[in-house]
Amino acid sequence: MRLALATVLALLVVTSPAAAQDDYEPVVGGGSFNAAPLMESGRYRDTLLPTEYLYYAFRLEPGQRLHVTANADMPIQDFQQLGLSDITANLHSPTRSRYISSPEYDVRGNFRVEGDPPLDITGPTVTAEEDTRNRGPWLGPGVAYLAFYAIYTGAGGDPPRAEVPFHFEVEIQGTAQSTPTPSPSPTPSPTATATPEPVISEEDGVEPAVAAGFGVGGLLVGVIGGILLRRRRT
Amino acid sequence: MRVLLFVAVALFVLPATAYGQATDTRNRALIVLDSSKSMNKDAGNGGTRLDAAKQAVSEVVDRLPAGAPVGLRIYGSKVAETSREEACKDTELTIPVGPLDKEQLTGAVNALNGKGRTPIGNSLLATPDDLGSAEGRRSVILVSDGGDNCAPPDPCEAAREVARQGLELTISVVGLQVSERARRQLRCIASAGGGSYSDVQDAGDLGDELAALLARAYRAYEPSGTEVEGTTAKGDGPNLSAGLFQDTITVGDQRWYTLEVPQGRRVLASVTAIPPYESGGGSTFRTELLATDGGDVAFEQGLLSGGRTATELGRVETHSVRTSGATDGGQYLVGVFLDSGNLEDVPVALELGIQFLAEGEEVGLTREAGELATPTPTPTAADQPTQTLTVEDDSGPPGWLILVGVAIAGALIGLAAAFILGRRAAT
Repeated sequence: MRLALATVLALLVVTSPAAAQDDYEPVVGGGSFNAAPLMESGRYRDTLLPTEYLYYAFRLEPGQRLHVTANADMPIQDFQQLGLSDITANLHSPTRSRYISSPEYDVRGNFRVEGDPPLDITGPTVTAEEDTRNRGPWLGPGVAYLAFYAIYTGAGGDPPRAEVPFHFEVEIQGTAQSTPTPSPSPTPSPTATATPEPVISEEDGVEPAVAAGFGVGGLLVGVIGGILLRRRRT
Repeated sequence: MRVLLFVAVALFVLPATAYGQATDTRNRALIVLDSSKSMNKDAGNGGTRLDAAKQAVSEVVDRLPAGAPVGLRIYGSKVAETSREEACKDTELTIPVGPLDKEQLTGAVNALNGKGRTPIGNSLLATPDDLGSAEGRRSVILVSDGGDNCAPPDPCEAAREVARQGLELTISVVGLQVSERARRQLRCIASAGGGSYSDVQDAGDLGDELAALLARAYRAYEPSGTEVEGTTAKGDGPNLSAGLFQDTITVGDQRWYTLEVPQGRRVLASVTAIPPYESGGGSTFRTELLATDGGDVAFEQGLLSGGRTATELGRVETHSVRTSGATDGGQYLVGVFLDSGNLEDVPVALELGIQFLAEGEEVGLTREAGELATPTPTPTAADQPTQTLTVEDDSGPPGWLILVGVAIAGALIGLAAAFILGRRAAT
């Protein structure tokens, strides 16, 4: 019995790290807003260096909001030995300004490692109302950002260049109320930058449904034409 | 008929969207690959572990940025494990670190046969020389299916020694179907080398893991956009169109930029200040938007902290100033100020995002969802105007021609069908 128990425990010990890791998809955050990969709800893992930022982008429609949980994957002694006090997370609006916490939601928080309380933050629900403010976060639809930053409190010297593995889960909560009209000229945008992906404009392209319609129409014309020709011959 | 077939195929082959990741090709990566005898073991899917590594590498090379500096060190591929002394010296820099040559890299890996022992410690000790001392981050990515069996040197101690040699070198490890004992050793290497450790069980996972590690190796942390130089005199600043720009500012200084806003558009300026990670102290950072008549439209300000002193709010500060609605157009000014404070007197990077919003236009980046952890070649930083591509660019005939083609194809098929069916009915 003891042997069986020991075997089961050994198996658990052997398999648990891999199993836990398998649940999280490896991703690579961007070092700036502009380099942030556009992602969807999911469980992810990445690494970051002390004092450096990682950004991830998420599209939000009216009625939706971001919910994020996270924790780091290293022993607390190693975490502190790097001179880190915490990893902080902030949610940024499409204008890149940080959202501001309110009684209904908390858009900023810290986390360290398993065993400590995990990060658990939630952004504001995106509104369809027109923005008329002249500064601050944008509460309307668009691409919002999640940013992680490892707070370095080490004494003197440059922060160590050591990767801190962490995992996080992002859930886009709520049902999109409506799809905002695509901009006529895709955001003057990210453009002029070193990194953004090319934006494919389909303004001169052909919608598959339209093409299919033409195809079916052509087919009908062909069939009718064929029948008529056949009848004339007979 | 061929043309019609092309048209039909073209309708269904939509252009793939590439997703960008900032890439710094000053950074270098070295893959250290296990080719010991144990790599000949069945990986559980019909092939060996070495087959899994070959497949993973061949998949990864297409996901690497063009010209990315990468090298390959292989151990255990030449000397049979029976000769311990010689087998433990069997580690070789097969491809020196240099711009990616996909064929060379895949060719070298595909030619491997699992043969010898696992001299991880000796291999790690060679990596600083392999990667050189030029500016940029250096990443070692070790892929192994087991622990070192040649110690001394102890591989974990070797990793520590390597890490001590330079602040800009990290060692990450991928364990391929490893035992718990080997995992402990490989984790120790990653921890001592300032890198990460991950377990993989098959070629697909290994490919994803390698792609992510290499993307991290080349990850850039610098602002991007067209380089501009704001002026200290209001009204003399460079004229910015919509898009992203970058500049720098120092403590006690200000930067002015001019915006020529089209009529009916709403002005939106996002300004991000990024002090160097090694800086300390803090100063007040302010952004102003002034209207055509010089009147204030909006301003924001906050504390900007250096990397050594930043707390929960981090060391990056972003302001967003905008008109409250569409404007009559004209000249607007954006001013950025970094007040005297105790922020160390070092250049602070600025990233400016300018938008002239038409009615109904979406704010911020417009991107489609796409693949994860996929590094792709990116354009160089400066002087890159809009990267908006149109489908018609080099990708086929215009839309109306496609529709006419499809309609004609449909008609021809219909005619043919009618005739064939008619004949059958007649007979």
